[in-house]
Amino acid sequence: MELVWLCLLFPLAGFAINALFGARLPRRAHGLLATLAMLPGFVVAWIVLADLLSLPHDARHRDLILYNWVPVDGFSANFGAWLDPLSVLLLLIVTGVGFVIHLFAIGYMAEEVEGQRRFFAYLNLFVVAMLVLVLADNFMLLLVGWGGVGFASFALISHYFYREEAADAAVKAFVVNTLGDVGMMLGIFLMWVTYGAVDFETVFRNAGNAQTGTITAITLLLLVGALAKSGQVPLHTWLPDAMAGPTPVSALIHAATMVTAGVYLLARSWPLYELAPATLTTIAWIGAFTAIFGATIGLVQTNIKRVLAFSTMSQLGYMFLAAGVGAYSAAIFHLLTHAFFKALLFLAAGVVIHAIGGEEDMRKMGGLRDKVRIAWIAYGIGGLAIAGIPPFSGFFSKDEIIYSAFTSSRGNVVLGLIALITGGLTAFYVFRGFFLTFYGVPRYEVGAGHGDTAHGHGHGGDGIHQPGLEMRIPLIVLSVLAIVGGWVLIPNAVHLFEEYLEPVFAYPTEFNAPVHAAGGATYWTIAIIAALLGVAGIGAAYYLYVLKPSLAANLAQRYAGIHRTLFNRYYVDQLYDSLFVRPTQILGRALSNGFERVLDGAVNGLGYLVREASVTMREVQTGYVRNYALLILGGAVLLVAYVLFSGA
Amino acid sequence: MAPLSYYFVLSAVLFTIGTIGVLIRKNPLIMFMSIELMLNSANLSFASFARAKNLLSGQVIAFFVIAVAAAEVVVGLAIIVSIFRSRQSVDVDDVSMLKG
Amino acid sequence: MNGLPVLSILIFLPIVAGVICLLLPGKSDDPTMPRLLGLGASLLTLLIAILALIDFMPGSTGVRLEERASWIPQFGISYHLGADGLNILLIALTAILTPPAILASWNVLSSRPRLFIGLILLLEGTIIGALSSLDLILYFVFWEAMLIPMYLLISTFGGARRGYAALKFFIYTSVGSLLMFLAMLYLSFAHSSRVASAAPSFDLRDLIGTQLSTTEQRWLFLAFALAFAIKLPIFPLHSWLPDAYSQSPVTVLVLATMLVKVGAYSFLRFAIPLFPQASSELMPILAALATVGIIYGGLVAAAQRDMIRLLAYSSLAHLGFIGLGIFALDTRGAQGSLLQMVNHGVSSGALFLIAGMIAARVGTFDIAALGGLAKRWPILTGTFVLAAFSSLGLPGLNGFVGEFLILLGTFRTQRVLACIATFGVLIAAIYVLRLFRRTMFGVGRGPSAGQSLVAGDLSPREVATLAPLLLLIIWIGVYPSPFLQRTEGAVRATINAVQAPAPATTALTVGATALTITEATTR
Repeated sequence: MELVWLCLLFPLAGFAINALFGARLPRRAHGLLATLAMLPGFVVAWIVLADLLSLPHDARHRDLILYNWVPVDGFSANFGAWLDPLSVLLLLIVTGVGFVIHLFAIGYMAEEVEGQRRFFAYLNLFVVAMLVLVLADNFMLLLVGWGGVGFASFALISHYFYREEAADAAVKAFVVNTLGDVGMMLGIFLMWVTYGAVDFETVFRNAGNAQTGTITAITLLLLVGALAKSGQVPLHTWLPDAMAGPTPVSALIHAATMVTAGVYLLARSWPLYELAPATLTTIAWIGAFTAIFGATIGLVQTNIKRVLAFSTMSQLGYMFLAAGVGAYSAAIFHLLTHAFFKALLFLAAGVVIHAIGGEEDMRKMGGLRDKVRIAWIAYGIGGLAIAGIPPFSGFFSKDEIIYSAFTSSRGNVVLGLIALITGGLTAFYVFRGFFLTFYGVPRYEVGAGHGDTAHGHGHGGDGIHQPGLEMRIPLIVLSVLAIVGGWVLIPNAVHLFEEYLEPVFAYPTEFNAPVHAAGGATYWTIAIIAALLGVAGIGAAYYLYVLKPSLAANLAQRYAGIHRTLFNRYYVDQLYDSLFVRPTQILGRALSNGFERVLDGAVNGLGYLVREASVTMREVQTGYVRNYALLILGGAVLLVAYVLFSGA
Repeated sequence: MAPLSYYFVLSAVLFTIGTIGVLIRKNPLIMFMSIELMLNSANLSFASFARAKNLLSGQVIAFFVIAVAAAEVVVGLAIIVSIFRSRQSVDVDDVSMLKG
Repeated sequence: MNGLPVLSILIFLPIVAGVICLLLPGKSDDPTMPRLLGLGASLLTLLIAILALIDFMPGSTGVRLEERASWIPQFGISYHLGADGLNILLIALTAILTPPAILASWNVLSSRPRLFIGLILLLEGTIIGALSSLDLILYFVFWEAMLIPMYLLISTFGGARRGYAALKFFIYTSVGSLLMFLAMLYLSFAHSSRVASAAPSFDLRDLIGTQLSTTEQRWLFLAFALAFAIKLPIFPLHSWLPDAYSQSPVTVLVLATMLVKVGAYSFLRFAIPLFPQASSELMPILAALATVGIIYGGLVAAAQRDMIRLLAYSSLAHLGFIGLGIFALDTRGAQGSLLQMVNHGVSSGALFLIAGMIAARVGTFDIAALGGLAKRWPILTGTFVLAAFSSLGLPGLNGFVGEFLILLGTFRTQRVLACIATFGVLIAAIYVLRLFRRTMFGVGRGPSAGQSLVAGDLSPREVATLAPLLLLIIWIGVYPSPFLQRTEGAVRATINAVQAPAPATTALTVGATALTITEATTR
C-alpha cells in the first residue's frame, strides 16, 4: 500500500522535469512525458485497490504517514494518506480519467507553439494536488490539495492569458475558491478547538463529543468550501467562465475531478454531517436548487462548452442533493459515472471545436455528423448517459439519487420532483446541443479564426481537422465506460458498488451511515418515469432543433424576457458585481485616497507644527554678537539675582 | 592700605565699563579690549581678596585668568584676521551669517 | 562552533566589511571591488549563519552562543548577545536575504557603488545586532543604528521624493524609540532601587521579574509597544511605510523587510517577558489593531497603481498577521508568527526583487501601464507565480503554514478577530492576483510592449538572486518542521509566562482525551 506515494511521485516528477528542463525538450515531448507520468500512478492505484480488497471487509482502512508535516505544541498535522474504499475509488478516477485526458490533450494541443510545456506541466501539477486532496488523512493537508487544485485550475484557465476573458475568468475562479478556503479554514479552526485535532481518525471518532450547534457550525463552514469548489449556488459564478481554458482542462478539472471535490468532502466528513441535520437539509436544498438552476440556464446557452459547464453544475447539484439526504454512496456513484460521461462529452466537444478551428459557438456549427463521426457517436453516448436512458451509466446513478430524494428520511416529495424534472431538462439541453452541432445545415466556416488550436494535421479534403489516434482512444475508452460504468450497481441485481463503499460508512465511528439498498417496486417505478422524462426531453429537442428549427427561434422571441434572463444566467454575475465587487473597489479607493491621506496628514501635520514652532523660535538667533552678549548678560544678572535673593 | 571696598568699587566700575563696551562697540578689537577689561576687573577682585585674606589661591587664579585671556586673544585675533581677509571689514554687525 | 564568538562575527563581519567598502581606494564609480567585497562578505556571513542554525538544537529552550562582556560597568551596561528560538531564524534569514540584495543591485547602481554596498552591509550587521542583543542598551544602540544606513540608502539612492520619505521614515521611527529609551532607564532604576542587593543592570535577564506596580507596567509596556508598533508597523502608525518603501531603491527592500520585523520580534523578546501582566491586559487592543491592519492594508493595496506601493500595503497586511499571532498570546499563533516573519521576508522579498526586475525592463512601476508580460518573459513569469501565490498564502507553500498557525492560535484566544482576519486571506488573493493579472496577463500595451531596457528574460544572475528565496518558499511549505522545532521551546517559554486569556478548556480536554484514546487503539 505504501506504493501509493508513487501515484504522487510520478506526476510530480513530470511537472518538475517539464517546468525546470522543459525548454531543452522538443515540443512533442512535453505531452508525451506528462502522459507517461500518469500511467504508473494508474497501475499503482489498481495495486493499492487489490491490497485494500485483500483486507477483511471491516478493516479496509489505512493511515499511511509519510512524515509529520506541521508539528507544533498541541497541534499536529501529518503528511499522510488515508486509504479506504472511498479514497482509492477517487484515486482510480483521478489517475485513470486523468491519463486518458492527458492522452487526448497531446493531440488537442499538438500544434500549439509556445504553451505546451506550461500546459502539460500544470496538468501534471493538478493531478498531484488532486491526489493530495483525495488521499489526505487530515483536514489541513486536505486544504493543501484543495488550494493546490485551485491554483492549477487558475493556471490552466489562464492558459490563453493574452485573452482578457481568460485572464479574468482565472482570477475569478481563484478568488471565489479562496472565499471557500476561508470558510474551510474557519471550520478547521473550530474543529481543532472542539476536538483538539484535525485528523480524520480523531475527529470522526469523537464527532459526537460536541454540541450539535458546534457541529452544525463546523459543517456549514466546511460546506462553504465545498460549495465554492463544486460550483454550487451561490458560489457558482466562476464555473461557466472557467470554460475559457483549453477543452481538456474543462474535461479533467471542471467536469471529472476537481469540481467533485466538494462532494468528496461531504462524503468524507459524513460522521460530522450526520450529526448536523440542519446542515444536511441545507445541502439537500442547495443541491436541488443548483440542479434545476443550472439546467434551466443550460437550456438557452449557445456556447457548446458553457452548456456543458451548466450541466456540470446541475449534475453536481444532484450529488449534493444525494449527500444532503444522506445517500452518500449514491452521491459517490454519480460522481463516478459523471466523471466518465461528462469527460466524454467535453472531449467530444473538444474534437468538434478542434475540427472547425476553435469555434465554440453552436450557432456556427451544424451538420457535423458525417464530418467528425467519432465525435458524433461519443457525444451521443455521453448524452444518452447524462439523460439517464437505460442501460447507460447515468440511468443507474441518477435514479439512485432521485429515489433517495423521494424516500430517504431526510428527503421529501419536493426534492424528488425537482430531481425528476431536472432530469427531463437535462436530456433536453444536452440533446439540443447535440442536434445543433451535428444536425441541420452546416453553419461553420472552415479555417476561420484558429483560436486555441492550431492546424496542419489530419485535414480531410474538406478542411476539417480529423482527430488523431491519441484523441480517438480516449473517446473510445470513455464511451465504453459511460455505457458500462453504471453496471456496478443495479438494484435488485448487482450490489458491487454499495458493498465496496460500505466500510467507508461504518468506520471510524460507532454508528453507521444510512446506506440505502435501493430496489423494489417504488425504485423501478421512479426509474421508469425518469427514463421516460429523459426520452421526452430528447424528443422535444429533436422536434425543436431538427424538425422545426424555426419554432425554437419563435419561442425564444415570444418569451424574450425569460430567454434573456436565462441567457444572462439570472443576472447573478451582475448582481454580485454591484453587490460585492464594486463596493469593495470603491471602499479600497476611498480608503486609499481618503482615510490614508487623513492619517498621513495627521503625521505630517505634527511635523509641520514642530517646524512652524521652530521657525518662530529661530528669530531669536539674530546673528549679531551683541545680542548674544546681551542675553548672556541678562542670564548672568538673573543668576546673580537668584543667588542673592533666594534667601541663602 | 585702602579699605577693601574701594577695590571692589573699582573692580565693579571696570567690569561695567567692559560690559558696556562689549555691548555697544562694533569694532571687534575694541570689544576684545573691553573683554580684557572685564577679565582684569575680576583679577583685581581676586588679588585684593588674596591680599586681605592672606591666601595664595586668589593670586593663582588671577594668573590663570591672564593665561586664559592671552589664549583667547590669540584665537580671537586669528578669527578677526581671517574674517578681515575674506570680507575686507571687521564690523561685527556685518558678520551675522549665523542668523537663524 | 563552540568557543567562537559566532554572533559577534555575524554582526561585525558585515559592519567591518561595510566600512572597508566605504573607504575603498580607487575611482569612485568603479563597481567591481565593492561588488566582490560585498558579495564575499555577505556569503561568508551567510555560511556562518547557516552553520549556527544547523548547530542550533531543535526544541531547546535555553540561550545558546551566548557572549557577555562588561561594557559600561558603572551603569550595568554589558555587551550581551545570545541566540535562542526567538531570533535564530531571523538572524539566519537576514544573512540569507543580503546576498540577493547585493546581487540584485549588480547592474542597477550606476553611481557610488561603494556607498551602496557598504550601506547594505552596515544594514545587515546592525539588524543582526538588534536581533541578537540581550542587553537593553546594546539593543537600543543597534535598534537606532539600523536607521542610519537605511536613511542614507533612501535619501541617496531613492526615487523622486526620497528626501521627504527618508526624513519621514527616520523621524517617525526614532520618535517612537525615545519613549522606549526612557522606559528602559526607568526600568533599570526601578530594578536597582527596589531590590536591595541588585547592582545596576540593563541586562534583559536581570530585568525580567522586576517588581512593578500595575500602573507602572502598563505605562512601560505602552512605551515599548509604541516603539515596536511604529516599526512593525501596526495600523494606524504605518504611514511612513508606503513612502519609505516606494522611494527607496527597490533592491534594498529585500533587507528592509527584515528591518520592520525587528519590531515584531521585539514584542516577543522584550515587551512580553518584561511586562507579562500588562501584556495580557493590553494585547487584545493591539490584536484588534493588527486585525484592522490586515483588512485595511489589503483593501488599500487593492486600490494602488504603483507596484511598490501595492506591495508596501500588502506588507502592512502581512505584518498585521505577524502581529496578530503574537498578540493572541497563544503558542501556536506565536510560532506561526515567527515562521511568518521568515515567510514574509522570503515572499515579499522575492516580490520586491521581481517588481524591480520588471521595472528594470519596462522602466515603470505603474501597473496600469503594463500588461501581457507573461508572453515575453516566461521565466520571470514562473518566478512571479511562485512568489505571488506564496504571498497570498496558497496551501502547500510557505505562507499558508504561517498564516494557518497564526489564525489557529488566534481562533483559540480571540475568536472574533480570527474570523475577521481570515478574510484577509481572501483580500490577499484579490490584490495579489490583481497585480499579477494586470502586469502579466492580457495584451501588452504601453511600455510593456515597447523595447525592453534589459535584454531578454531573466539572466542567470537574476535567477541566482531569486533561487534561494524560491527554494525556501517551497521548502517551508512542504517541510516546515525544522523551522517550527527550532522555535517551539523558546516560544512556549515566552508565551506560557503570560497569563493568557482563559482558553476553551473543556473542548481542549475532550480533544486531549480523544487523542490518547486514538493512540491507544491504533497501536
